[in-house]
Amino acid sequence: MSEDTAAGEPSAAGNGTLNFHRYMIGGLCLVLFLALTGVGYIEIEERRGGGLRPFISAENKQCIDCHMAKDVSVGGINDWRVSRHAPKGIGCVECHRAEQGDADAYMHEGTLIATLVTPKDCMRCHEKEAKEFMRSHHAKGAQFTGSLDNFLGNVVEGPEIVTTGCAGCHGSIVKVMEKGKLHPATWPNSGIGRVNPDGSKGTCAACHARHSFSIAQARQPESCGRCHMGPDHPQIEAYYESKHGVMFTANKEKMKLADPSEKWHPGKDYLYPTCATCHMSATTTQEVTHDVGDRITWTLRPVISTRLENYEARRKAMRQVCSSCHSEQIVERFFTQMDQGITLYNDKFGKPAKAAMDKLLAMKKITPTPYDEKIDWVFYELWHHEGRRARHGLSKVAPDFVHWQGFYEVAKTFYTKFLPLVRELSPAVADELLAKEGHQWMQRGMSKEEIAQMLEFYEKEMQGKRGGG
Amino acid sequence: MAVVHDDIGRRRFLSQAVMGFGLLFGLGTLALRFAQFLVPAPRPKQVQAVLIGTEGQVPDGDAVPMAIGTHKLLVLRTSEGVTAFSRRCTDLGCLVSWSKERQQFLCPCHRGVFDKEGTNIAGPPPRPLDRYAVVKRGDQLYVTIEAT
Amino acid sequence: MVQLAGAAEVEAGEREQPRSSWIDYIQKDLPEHLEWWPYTLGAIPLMLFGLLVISGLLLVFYYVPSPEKAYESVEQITYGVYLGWFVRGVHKLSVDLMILFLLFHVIRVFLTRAYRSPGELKWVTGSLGLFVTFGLGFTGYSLVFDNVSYWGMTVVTNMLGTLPVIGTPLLYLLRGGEEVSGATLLRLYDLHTKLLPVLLVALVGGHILAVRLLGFAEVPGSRGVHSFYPEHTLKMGMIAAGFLVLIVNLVMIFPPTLGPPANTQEVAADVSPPWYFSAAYMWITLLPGPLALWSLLGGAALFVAYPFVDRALSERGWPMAWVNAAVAAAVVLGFVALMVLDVRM
Repeated sequence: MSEDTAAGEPSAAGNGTLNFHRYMIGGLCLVLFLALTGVGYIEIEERRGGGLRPFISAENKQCIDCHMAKDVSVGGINDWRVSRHAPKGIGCVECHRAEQGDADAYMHEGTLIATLVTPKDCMRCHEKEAKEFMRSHHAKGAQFTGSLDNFLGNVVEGPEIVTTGCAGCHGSIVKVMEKGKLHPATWPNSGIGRVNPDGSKGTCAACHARHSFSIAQARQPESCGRCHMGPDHPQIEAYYESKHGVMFTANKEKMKLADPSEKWHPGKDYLYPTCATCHMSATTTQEVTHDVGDRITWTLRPVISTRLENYEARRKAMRQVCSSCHSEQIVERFFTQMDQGITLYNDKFGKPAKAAMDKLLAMKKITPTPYDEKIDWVFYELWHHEGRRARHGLSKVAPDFVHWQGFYEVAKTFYTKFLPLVRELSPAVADELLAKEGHQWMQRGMSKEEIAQMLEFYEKEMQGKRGGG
Repeated sequence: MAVVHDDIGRRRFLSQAVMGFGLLFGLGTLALRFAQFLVPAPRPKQVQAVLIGTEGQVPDGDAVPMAIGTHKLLVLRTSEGVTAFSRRCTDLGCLVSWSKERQQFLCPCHRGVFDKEGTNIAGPPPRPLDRYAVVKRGDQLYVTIEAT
Repeated sequence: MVQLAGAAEVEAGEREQPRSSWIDYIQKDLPEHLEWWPYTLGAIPLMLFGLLVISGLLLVFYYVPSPEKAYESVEQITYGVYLGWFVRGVHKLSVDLMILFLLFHVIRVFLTRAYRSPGELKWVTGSLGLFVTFGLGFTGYSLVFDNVSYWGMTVVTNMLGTLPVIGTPLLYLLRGGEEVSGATLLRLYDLHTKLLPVLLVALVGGHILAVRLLGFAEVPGSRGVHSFYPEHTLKMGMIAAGFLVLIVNLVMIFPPTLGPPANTQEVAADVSPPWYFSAAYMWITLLPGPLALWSLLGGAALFVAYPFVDRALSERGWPMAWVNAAVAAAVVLGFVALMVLDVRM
């Protein structure tokens, strides 16, 4: 078989190889086409799903595959998938791995892990936040073992509810049993001051719930409101009553809660403050702080409120946050109003009541045992519940909490419950209690002019109807 | 005597065809992906009514220039009432201005002229100036624009 | 040359003028060994370079070379722009593959001593091209302006600044001033997108031309010839298609990520350069400053001038095939050992 081959033309045998190569090119390109279709599919899925795909290392794949197969904690894993950790490849092992010698380490399917992930673990990447948190008051949450509140919970109520009740917010002291298992009386618990076996305090998951650890979720007032609520410190209720809370509720979709802190500045990127805004988050001139006390001037916790150490700097920091949206005029006047209100509580109610209780104790008119007499409870609620409500209302510009749920109840308890009980035990102390000018109205009553004015008011404005008519 | 080599030719044609199709689909899709990357998708637009002022604020015989977002307008009292004209010349998109002396809209790029009703009267513009819908609520005037 | 009966007749008899087409300009008979796998390694970096140029041209539409906007624009590309992750992923993966296969190619050429006379120019253009490629890699990842970028550009320009005489002017040239600033980023951007690609195209062009004109070194066992077009081109086309499929699939499975943005106040603990600089990085870490730098520069110079060293030594009777094998083994093992050390530390 002869063939005409011009120079450079392949022979029959060569043709076969050439054909093979052409088929290969064609075939590979068709595979390429399929792959690129996959690329397009991924892009569309991601746009729809709104998230990035998790990057799962070989180690983590082992954890995930087994857990999914055995249907254990599947919810937690799916939660992790939408976290910001997932696309960065930060998975099970990166947080749960333990070292030899860790108090709560145990072998699990060939890897040394610990159930508890503490700020020390988070600190591997989030050093600044963890350090700030651990020097904050939050980290001291579990340190109330010697306090009256602890007596109330443990003794007056009952020790079984301390972990779920008090320690549910404050944090338990986690005890490790053998094989790394955690004692049921101390865990599960994600109280903010939880004392961990590795010595660190607190848990980041108290605010950044696991396993999505979402910053948007942590910035929601409800995250703080889980603990900062209730009759003894109604921060979240007061917040929602305040204008800030109303605006936040109305404009939640515009809040861009998931934006990173460099792009989440009040007044600029979003306009309605959350708890985080004032107490933690970044502004145009301040960085994020995980020490929630950094911008707080007063402690509203004790019987008598005092200013904290270095309060000028803290007040300045807080004022800067307010100035992100408000004029200097408003900011200055707000703080004047708040400071004056707190001082009113201190001077008119807090200090006199405490002085009275101290005197009665010194006179042995009351026992040193707390909560065993009615006056103990009345005094306790006066400052611990009603007094705190009033003060928190002041700090959040929540009128109802300042007045009806605050000072009204403080005054009512003070005059109608506390005063009679004190008078019963010692008329002298009772008289001292009413020594301040603010209590003189009880002796003096209203003057003739004041009565006339009030009658005129009811005639003119209320068409003669009196209250209740 | 020439031997007909159909086999070789056919096989070559077939392999070249497969290669051709493969290249077309494969490299074509790659080029498509690159093109999709480059061309940003249009963003969904919303219609909005924007307050531009009161009836009384529009002077007689003079057009008030305004910029709302990316839209540039001239607001003029015409025989039909207060009208919001788009300043985008209907020729090739240059910005028209109002000449008070001539009571006309003038476009400097190719010397287009529109009269005070917005009708194109001289130069290359093929049609009158576009208008934005004007809504009157009481004394207030609103212009409806599309915004992203 | 395989000739069949018919062709010989035609040649011997009436000489038909072959139709001159564009094919004849690129046509060449290539020795058989060019079909063997180790000898196709050179074409792969070329193809990957083409992919890098295309993906780079696309990225340039979105990247902003200012310190305030650089990281953000890369973030936008990776997470915001439609198929941005894909184009960036292709670009990143192609760099790693290109350098990997370049190194394979260099090892092959070194072991087969293909730089022998008269082919020294091939080696010189090629080795300079390798350094320019490293430069492109360095300038490229500096543009992301994450922690690695910022501290990388600080350290590398510092190192260059320690050279005598040319050090300080070179430092100022690269940094656009005394400190690392916006001017630095802009210059690295210009190097990466304009000067270095042009230089590389020239060097690679020169390299291919040199190969074309100076021919191939003898390879024992290679007897026949085959044509450049269509045999060699189709084979290279097949390899290119295969690589495209590989790259697209790998990018789908391992999309590109982004490290934390440059923290100019603090060097993060985990800053380390990409794998191809790992060995050099460890070398600098382990050896005292000037010694490390000078040994690197000396090594580079020796590398470029190697064909002449080889010629001088073979004239003295050194068994260069074995020498090269030993040197290659030592260098590769050293490289790998330093890389492992970097990962461990």
